[in-house]
Amino acid sequence: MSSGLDLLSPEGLRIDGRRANELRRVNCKTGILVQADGSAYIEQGNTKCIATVYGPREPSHKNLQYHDRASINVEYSIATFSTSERKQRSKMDRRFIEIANIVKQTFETAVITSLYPRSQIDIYLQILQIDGGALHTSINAATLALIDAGIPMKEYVCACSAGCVEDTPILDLNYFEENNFTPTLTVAVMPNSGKISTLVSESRLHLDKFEPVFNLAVSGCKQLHSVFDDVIRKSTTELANRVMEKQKE
Amino acid sequence: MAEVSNKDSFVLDANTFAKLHPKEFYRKFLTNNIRPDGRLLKKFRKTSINLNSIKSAEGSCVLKMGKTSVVCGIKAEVAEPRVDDPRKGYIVPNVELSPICSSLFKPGPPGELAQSISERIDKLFKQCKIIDLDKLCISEKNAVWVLYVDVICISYDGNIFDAALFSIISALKNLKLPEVTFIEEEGKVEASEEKTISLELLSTPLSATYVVFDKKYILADPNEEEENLSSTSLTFIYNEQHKLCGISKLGGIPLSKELIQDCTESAIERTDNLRQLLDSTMKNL
Repeated sequence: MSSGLDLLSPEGLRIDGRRANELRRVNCKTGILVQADGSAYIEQGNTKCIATVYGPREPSHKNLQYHDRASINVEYSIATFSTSERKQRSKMDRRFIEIANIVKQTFETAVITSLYPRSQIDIYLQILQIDGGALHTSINAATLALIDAGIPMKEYVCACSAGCVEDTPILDLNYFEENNFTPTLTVAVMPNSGKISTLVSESRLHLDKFEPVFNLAVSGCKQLHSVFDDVIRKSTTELANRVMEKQKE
Repeated sequence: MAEVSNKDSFVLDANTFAKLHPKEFYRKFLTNNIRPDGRLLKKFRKTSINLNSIKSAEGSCVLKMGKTSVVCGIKAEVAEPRVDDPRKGYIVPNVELSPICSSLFKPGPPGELAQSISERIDKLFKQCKIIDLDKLCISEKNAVWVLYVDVICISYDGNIFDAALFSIISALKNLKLPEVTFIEEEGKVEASEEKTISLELLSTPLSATYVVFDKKYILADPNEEEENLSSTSLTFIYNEQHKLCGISKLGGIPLSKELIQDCTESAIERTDNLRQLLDSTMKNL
């Protein structure tokens, strides 16, 4: 497999200067918007995503009303200026619907939906800038927004991608690496129990390489988990302090 | 829930009162010349902008105005010019109010509000000569620039028109286009790697919006609640020479001429303040 440009230099560095097993810089914040019940902003490298959560609220359609659980609705859209080339794509683009569906199915098991029968939880995802890894960034943003909304979940869902260049597994692919016929695997795990909730790969990957690539992605998820946990703990402490102050008044 | 046993014990706390009788709640504040969020009647919300934060766009602006926040991104593309105007590029503004920004908006095709705002901004571009469209020409009859100006609302709390227009003007001001040459033999355009050319704005029209409450109170820069309670709204658009570029009062109750003239001074001051904010932000870039 040759790809014009070397994705991995002889020193083992990638085109953006990272080592093979290094994540991109993660920056995240919860509770950024007041209008929504829960919201989060996340930057993974140059991929930026905003997630908002509304609900649990009355379902928009009768057929989304289940007597024993809440339904989860996910809308995924990317800003027209988020990519290097502007593409006029409708909201009904199949790729978007597929990503929305993956996110939806991921959270149907992670959220304890049985607590809110006959209601609907809406997750809206907006990508502002894209540099690879839109799917896993979306899942991470949705997790943070759901926690911010105070919706009970079994545990965090952390997602990360990994790929394989020649024989070296690489973590958290950027746009360039994703588009160079690198086999890519996106994994979403619940880090405490170590259970896998989503596993997506759309490219050919040799079975022998599957294990190391998969393990690398899981280790990436665990690193992300500690970052998210810090952010959530911090924001919750702040919230608790504010409540305490109010009570004192 | 408070139980009504006798007349004396029936006391509503402020929050409940505001929910049950929002208009009465507002009146109590407005008679004292102040609004429930602590602003004076003609006071605009705190506005801040952040330029060039989206690297994939040729120009971008993130704007916060109180709890309303929008992101504007401009993508430039090369296209064939129209047959009737072979030297003119074009600009395509679009405002998106997706369900992400408020529970008011439903998923699906753009709603009436989003479409009408996009249309109003498009009209403004056509009539006010913000950009010399001839400057967007790369090669006559062959290639011109198209500027796709997209505004995405992230958080909706009223007065989206002012926010959208200011973010568009700010993004246009720091727009950087690559250097391009048209190669006639091959019929294609070659662009330089670096984006260096900025576009000169012929004018910078900015807007100030007011709503009228109870026929006599004029509230500047309404939030969502004030928009809903008011009976009509007024938008003034002024350019940097204090010339009126547009005024709109879209239906609602009839107003006296004096009441409309009353706003003009404050509108000019507001648009000047926004221009200063933009200039100082650009200097600090």
